[in-house]
Amino acid sequence: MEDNYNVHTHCNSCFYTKCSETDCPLIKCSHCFIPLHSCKLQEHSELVCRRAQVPCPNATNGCKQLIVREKIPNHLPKCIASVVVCSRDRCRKLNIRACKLPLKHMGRKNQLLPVEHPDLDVSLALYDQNMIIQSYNSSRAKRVKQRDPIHPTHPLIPLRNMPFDNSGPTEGLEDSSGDELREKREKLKKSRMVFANCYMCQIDPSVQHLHTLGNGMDIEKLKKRRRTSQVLDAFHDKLNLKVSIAVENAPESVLKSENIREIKKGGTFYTLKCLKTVKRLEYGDHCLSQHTLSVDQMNEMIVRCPNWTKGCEFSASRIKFASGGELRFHTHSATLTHSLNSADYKLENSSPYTLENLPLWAYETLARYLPSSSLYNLSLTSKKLRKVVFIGCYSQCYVEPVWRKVETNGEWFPDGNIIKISSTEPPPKLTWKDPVELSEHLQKCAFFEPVTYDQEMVPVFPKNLELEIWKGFAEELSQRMIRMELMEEQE
Amino acid sequence: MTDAKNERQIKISSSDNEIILVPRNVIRLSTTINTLLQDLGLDDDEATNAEPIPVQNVAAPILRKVISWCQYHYQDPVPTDDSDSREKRTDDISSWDTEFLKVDQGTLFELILAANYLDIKGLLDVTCKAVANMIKGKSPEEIRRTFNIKNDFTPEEEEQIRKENAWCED
Repeated sequence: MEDNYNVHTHCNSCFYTKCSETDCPLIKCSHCFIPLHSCKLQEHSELVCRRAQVPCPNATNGCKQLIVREKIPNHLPKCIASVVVCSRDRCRKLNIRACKLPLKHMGRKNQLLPVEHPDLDVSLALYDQNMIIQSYNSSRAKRVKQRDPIHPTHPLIPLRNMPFDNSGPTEGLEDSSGDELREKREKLKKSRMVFANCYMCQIDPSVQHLHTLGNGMDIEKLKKRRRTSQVLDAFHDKLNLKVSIAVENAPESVLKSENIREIKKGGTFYTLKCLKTVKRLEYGDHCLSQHTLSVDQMNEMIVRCPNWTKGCEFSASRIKFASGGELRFHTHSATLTHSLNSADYKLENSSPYTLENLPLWAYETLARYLPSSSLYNLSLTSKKLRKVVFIGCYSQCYVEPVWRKVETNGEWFPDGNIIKISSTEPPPKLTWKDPVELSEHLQKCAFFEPVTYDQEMVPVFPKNLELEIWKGFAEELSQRMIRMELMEEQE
Repeated sequence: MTDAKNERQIKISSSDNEIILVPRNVIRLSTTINTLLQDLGLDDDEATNAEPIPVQNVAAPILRKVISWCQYHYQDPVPTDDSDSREKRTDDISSWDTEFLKVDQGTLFELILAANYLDIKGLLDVTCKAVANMIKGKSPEEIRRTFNIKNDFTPEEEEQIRKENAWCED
């Protein structure tokens, strides 16, 4: 043992390519042919050798490829297990405070509204509202448990999956916000107690002292504050929207608490996270097309008629796509996709070739022209095309380990991999455009209520104003003169 | 590109044995035939080849369409070969090509197959773009309608893949 130890102390520091040590002779690495002591060979090929084949660094995440070590940097961008989960979020606020209760009731019954709507902002708002409704389809305890320091009022949506918590929504129609109200009432009662804010009581309640009367803190509350009356506008009412169509953009890292006006006013502020898994290579495209160049600039994409509060649904756009077409929201994959209004090719029954019976290479070639959002939709059309997407276009998919829980000790372990396809696409090129349709629409907007006056219109400044004043003055003067003369005559 | 060569005609025969004459410079776009001519030494004689080159996988109507595409495009600059693995743009089909591709779907797919067999990069590129544009931005239901695809999922399967679109390995 000691002998062996001595031999390898030599090896540890030996770096000669020609070493005469005989106890542990030099051999050549079979991959890179570098001479080294045989005791170091295993370590060399496992951890160092540039030419040795090693599993991909993402092997634990499902990539099964073996790569020559020096080629790992080339592989990683294409690696099918190299994925990113998008953490972008958007916020929503209620139209008026009274909208919260109906949302909760809808949540209890899991009553989702259909999302399809020609206008992008409306369908997005309806989709978000459905997400909020789903979050209300769980018990209050569950929601409270999922609050975090950044989101102290309403937890992040979608709620985390808690398989161990089977509690359903609060039964019956009793409002879960009853709990909240009770808490609030008790707090208020406490603060209303006459000496509640006595400074001396707080420092040392046992000492005899004169209480500070007047309950100083309440003075703030007694001050009259003007509140804007909260009335639900016809537009949101018509679409059954409880949340506003305007997306609120609060920075991700900002505390969603009293610092936000909505919450301060007593409303609720919902934060919806994207949480889409995309391949690392596609992430930039995802961020631009799904967030930065679409949702974040909804004000430019959709310019509403100023009469929208009265219920006018007209909208124009300040943005045009360079290659034409339009942006659409696909509910099933929650993706904004750009569709070109290109002419469709007619179907002809006589032809032996259809999209379903092309050779495999044709699909591989086609996949190079298609974003993953299209491949995603293609995979949902039929069994054959589903196979084509997941097997033929394997390189466009991503792989994810499946985690399973051991029932006995509660540990989680990866149990096989599943192949998925992300649903995203590069952003279309945008150009600016004048919203001309809007001014055309305004001329004939049915919701425009012109102000009409019954009285005859009188010009404010007639042209002969000066003359008229003079005439009036002269007339009055002459009348006075006449009156004076008459009076003189009477005398 | 000399005038003499420009006039030289090559005989090719389609799968249904129709013989078509094509100028040598036009057929240069087809890498398959171009390599064939070079390898067989047929470029050496000035005359038209006596024995037509058989193109077994392409029928005459499609072959004629392919040649008409080549006739318009044979003077185009050779596209730079970008081996970028990322998605290619599809909104740049020229107006001539748009007119050219006003055909039915079957013909379009046959053009893809022919372009691949004859190895004409530009034609394969533009036909794939046309098909890609038909798929892009459409919902699964719309894709089914466009390509007349039958939905063969059971309602349970459809529900399952709508909830989580995943493919199990093994």
